[in-house]
Amino acid sequence: MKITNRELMRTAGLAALHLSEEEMEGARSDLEKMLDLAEGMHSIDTKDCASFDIPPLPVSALREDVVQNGSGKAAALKNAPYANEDGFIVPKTIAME
Amino acid sequence: MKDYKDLSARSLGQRIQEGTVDAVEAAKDALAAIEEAEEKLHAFLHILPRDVILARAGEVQARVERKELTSPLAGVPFAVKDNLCVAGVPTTCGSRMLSNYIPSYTSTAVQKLLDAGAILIGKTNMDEFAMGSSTETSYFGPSKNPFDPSRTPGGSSGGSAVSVAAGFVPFSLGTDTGGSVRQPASFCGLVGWKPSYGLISRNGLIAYASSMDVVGTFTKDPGDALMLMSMLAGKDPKDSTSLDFRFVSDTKKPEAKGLRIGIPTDLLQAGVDPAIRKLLYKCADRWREAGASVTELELGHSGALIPAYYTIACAEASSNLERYDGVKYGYRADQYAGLSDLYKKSRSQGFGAEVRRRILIGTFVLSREYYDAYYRKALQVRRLIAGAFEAAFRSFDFLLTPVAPGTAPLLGEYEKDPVGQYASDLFTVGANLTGGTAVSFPVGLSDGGLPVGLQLIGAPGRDRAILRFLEENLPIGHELPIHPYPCII
Repeated sequence: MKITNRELMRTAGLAALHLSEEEMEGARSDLEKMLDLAEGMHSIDTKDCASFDIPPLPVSALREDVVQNGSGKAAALKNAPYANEDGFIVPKTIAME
Repeated sequence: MKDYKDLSARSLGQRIQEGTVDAVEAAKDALAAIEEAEEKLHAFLHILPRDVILARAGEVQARVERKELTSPLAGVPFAVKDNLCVAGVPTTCGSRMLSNYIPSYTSTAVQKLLDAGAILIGKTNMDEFAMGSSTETSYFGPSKNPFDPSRTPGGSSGGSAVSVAAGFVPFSLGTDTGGSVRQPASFCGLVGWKPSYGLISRNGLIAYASSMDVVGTFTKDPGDALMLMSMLAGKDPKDSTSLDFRFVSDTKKPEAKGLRIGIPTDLLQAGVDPAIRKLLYKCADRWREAGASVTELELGHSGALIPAYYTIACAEASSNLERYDGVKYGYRADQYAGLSDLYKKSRSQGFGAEVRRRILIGTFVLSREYYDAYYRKALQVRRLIAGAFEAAFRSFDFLLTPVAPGTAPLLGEYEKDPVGQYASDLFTVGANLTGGTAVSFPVGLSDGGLPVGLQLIGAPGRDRAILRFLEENLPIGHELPIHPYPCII
């Protein structure tokens, strides 16, 4: 399968990755190779076949949505590249006219 | 201790309990072994400070002497793959993205070992975010195979394999999403146990592909893996996918006599080193002589294993790794123009080439236009693959396969064609796709002096059965452990 420049840039955008001009050909080639590899699945008839998302577990993985961790705010902020005592610091995203 | 490097975890633990060896002495032996060969092999990304290790060993020794600690792991040194969190200890996942990350909590698997009195020595090298088969995608450089330092130890848990094969520690933890414990165990002459999905808690494991990730072990023999199973397995309230230990409570010891073992010939049609094929059939003969029935079968859908695995693994990786945005933790780019550019630059500079490659593939197969054609298709094919394994396990107790098509490749081999190399995972990904268990075990050395491993695969929950069978029936032409030491000293 051939990937167009538009598809490649769109995918990179969705993945929040920057692709330089030099990286584009390599990325395209890798993606096309992987999709060619995936062609191995397309000859298999999967009509009416259910998806297999996760190995079946003998118990339910669902539980009540109860907070158990307590407040770990200070510990969580410790690993942030930029933070103050209230939260993470991010660049301003709304400009004033 | 003269024989520290050869000891299993059980033997060392027993000596400590008997009082013939001191936990501090064992820790000093571990540090001496590391001092001797780590520079050549690069097993570790972080070694705990000597005074911290010795102080902890001293505390454990005192508790053993007071009879407060009777665990067979009390005082036994161990190492942990660097994608398992340990509070206060750097946990990088082999990535620039997490090069400054220090977790505030300890993963359940590691905590259980610490509670048992085991002595953490350090965090081991790995392919970045567990994506790779050689440790060469590690941001911090590759580990080297103790049997031949010009070769890879395998991956992604390569550092953990090296730490045991080189005699630094008697056992270590790794993780296995598509073969990342079994393949390095095979390349380094060790027993690598990939547990059934859910058997060991993943709380504190940095996620790669959540429907397949498991925590596994590297040991010198199957008996140590059995002991670690009893320590590590069990339900954890912090991991809702974890299972009760009763899931593996086979009480009957599997005898070779009457055991049905299948060799999936369609898997073997892919290129396999003739020497490995020969050892596989030799192993089959050995088990036949012991009374097992070893016959061939056609598994079915073998050509779809790699496409389905990589489609699903990349999709899950793309989703799991969205969290790395340069804001909450991890690497942040120095220069950017606005929030969107901050995300893109931080991720592009923080992730290495293989991680970016898999994120792109995963994002593509999850995109609206291609979701049905690739991702949903892979999930449906996964159902058929699971059906093929279930059918096989109705007729066979275990399946016998190679672990990898060859022995450990030279460093640099994988880099030539990264996507092409995905095919070398053919024998290992089946157990991950289906949630079953599999154990890689050593069967000897190739003509070139490199370890060769084979694999037994079992249905989910047959972990104990496989390990107990191997404990009695390891068809090895050498005594364990296989010694790499002449190569590294």
